[in-house]
Amino acid sequence: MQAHLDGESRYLGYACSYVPLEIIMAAGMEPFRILPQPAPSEADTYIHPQTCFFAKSLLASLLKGVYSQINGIVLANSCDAMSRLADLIQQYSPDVPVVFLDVPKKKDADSVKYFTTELMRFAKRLTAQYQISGITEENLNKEIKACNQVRRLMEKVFALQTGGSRVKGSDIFKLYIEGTRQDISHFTEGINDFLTKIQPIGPSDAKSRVVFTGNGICNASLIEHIENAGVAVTVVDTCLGERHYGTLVEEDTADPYEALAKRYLMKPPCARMEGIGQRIIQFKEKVASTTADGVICVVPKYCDFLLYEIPLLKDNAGVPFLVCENDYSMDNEQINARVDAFLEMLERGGENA
Amino acid sequence: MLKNILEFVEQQTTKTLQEKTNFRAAWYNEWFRLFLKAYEPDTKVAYTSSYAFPMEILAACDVIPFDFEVAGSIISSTDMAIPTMEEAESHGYSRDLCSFHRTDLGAVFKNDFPEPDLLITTSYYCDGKAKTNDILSHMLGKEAFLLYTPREINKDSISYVVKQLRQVASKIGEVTGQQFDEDRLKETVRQSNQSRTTHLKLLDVLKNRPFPWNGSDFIAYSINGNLFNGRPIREKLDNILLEELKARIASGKLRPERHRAYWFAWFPVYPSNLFETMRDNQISVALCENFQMYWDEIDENHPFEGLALKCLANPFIGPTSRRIEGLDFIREAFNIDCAILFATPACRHSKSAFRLIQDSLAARNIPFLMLDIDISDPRGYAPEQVKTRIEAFAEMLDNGHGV
Repeated sequence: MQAHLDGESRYLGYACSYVPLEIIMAAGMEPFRILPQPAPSEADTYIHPQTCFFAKSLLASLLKGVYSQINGIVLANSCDAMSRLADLIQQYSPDVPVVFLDVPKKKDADSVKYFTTELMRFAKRLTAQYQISGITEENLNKEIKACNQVRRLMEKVFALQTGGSRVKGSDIFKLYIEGTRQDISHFTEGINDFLTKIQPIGPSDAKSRVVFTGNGICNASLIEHIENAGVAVTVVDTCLGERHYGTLVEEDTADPYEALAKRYLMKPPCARMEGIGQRIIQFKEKVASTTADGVICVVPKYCDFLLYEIPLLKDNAGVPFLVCENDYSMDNEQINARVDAFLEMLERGGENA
Repeated sequence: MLKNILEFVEQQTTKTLQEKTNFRAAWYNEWFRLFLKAYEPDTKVAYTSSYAFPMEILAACDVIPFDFEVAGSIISSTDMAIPTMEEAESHGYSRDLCSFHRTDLGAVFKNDFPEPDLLITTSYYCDGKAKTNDILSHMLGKEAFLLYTPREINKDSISYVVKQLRQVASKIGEVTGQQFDEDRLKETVRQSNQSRTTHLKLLDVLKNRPFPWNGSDFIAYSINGNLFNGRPIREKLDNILLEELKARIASGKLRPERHRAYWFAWFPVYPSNLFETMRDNQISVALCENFQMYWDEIDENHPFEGLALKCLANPFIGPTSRRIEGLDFIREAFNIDCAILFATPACRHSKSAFRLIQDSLAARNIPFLMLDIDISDPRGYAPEQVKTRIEAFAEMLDNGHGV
């Protein structure tokens, strides 16, 4: 169990960057990002084996009671696997109530309007489920500001990497992990501390530079492996990073739910959203702006959304691109060996892997 | 290649129909002729997902609906299945992705599909379909439209779907150069309601014991019959089928059956021994979930609202529990004594929560078989294994075991 569950607060787990933390916080609960330990096969009797290994590991953890201290879990229709996971948790892990959130896969004005109403329903579900007297606009605006403060600080962290790798990718990823373990006030202090104490590294020392992207990454082992090979990780682009912290919510608006709906649909998208063309452009810019020599894309087995996008991302990256499909555990000698071969190829100025 | 298949089958079925009326020939003839039109110059073509998108809207426009998944299934029923999927795989599309979609992508890489003017799909049934629509749109440089259908039915979700349907109608109008005609939509909705009545009659006839049709055609028609929704031909085809089934029942020459299955999801579109083995073991597909009538009559005076409700009522939206609602009624009405889930590897939305379906059936003492067989990729299909599993299931049913 992640360390900060103190037994005093009421915790609401979540597993996707599309869940609006501000509403959970305004309800007087602590959002708690669940990064289950890899145990995909332990859930196979409940969820079909050919399902995303992250979703399976999450179910296995809940069935084992690993997260018995949380008061419930918010699951969004992030993907088919997560939607089905919600069905299964409701039935087979009834001690962990599920609060479902329907997030459109589009971001036009009608979708924002609909999502605004869905967020209001979500708030009502929370208040009903947890017998909360109500979520006031004042509280919501206060939590929006608190979350925005973290986002602004994280923007500074991301900026450290723009145009040159001045901090280690593994350090940034560990900061992401801290973000899942700490409440917002401690995490705000943590980022400030990080920004104060960070030891810049010289980009010229690196043999080459890679963008590290993907989904379902639960620890820094592979990033450290890359860095130990003398390669700089210029961006750590996962749903714990920019996709989670990018884009501010408009503050002090008359309709904070609408402000939230806009931000959560407009934030840096994950592959669940429609519009692959736009994502290709953003991805190319990311690779170009960090002057990366290559891309390492990590994808858990059966993560369909990313698997569909990978060929186009690879074709448009403009640099060699390695796909590391994995069992979500990351501690894998086979992957390390493939990454080593890729890095060696980059050093020699090679082509797509 | 696809066009050649379409032409060949269209010619063959036309010949058959010149000799006598036959449902299968009429169905294939209409289906293949419709897809052939998509290749004609100056024709406006909309890629779509006929089993999900309300086809009444397309029927109200001068645009040819080309269901890219159904078209892919035609390729997958031939020797071109593997080369077409390999084309997509050679471009980096993983074999873990839906084989239907690999076929579609391969067909586009091979310039085998007609050129679309617009690509329309829905957020349900699966993520992969919407993603493929997005990718095809990017590859072909044509606009994509995703009908996002929320999980709950409430005034906000109805209003959201209505707005999207109006938006897509307007986009089709832009493509065809004609303003969308709402009166024409009322006509197609009226037509759809009429077909609904015939569909209910069909469901009634299908309750006959022994089952008067065959499993593979039943499941196939439950999916691609939707291509004709809102068009008079749908009602005509259903009526031909209805008369054929009645005649078969009246003849008394139906195949013997010992067991009647409720069928979840899809079927292998390539040649297989699945249904032959079921027939040999006297197991019928008495009802497939896609053929159920899940929607109420559409309000002809408010066609967009009515169609929005039809979309939202689809049991494939929302929790898995919606797919198993009404099991007691189905069991009784159709004399179901077993159930089969066709679990194609990439169909996460349909099969990931198989356990809920299994347990729900077990609670009713209905034996359940999950068949992990690919829908469209024949590589890995093991006929002997399928035969063994079906035979074992039949034996278990005969012995009264197996929940």
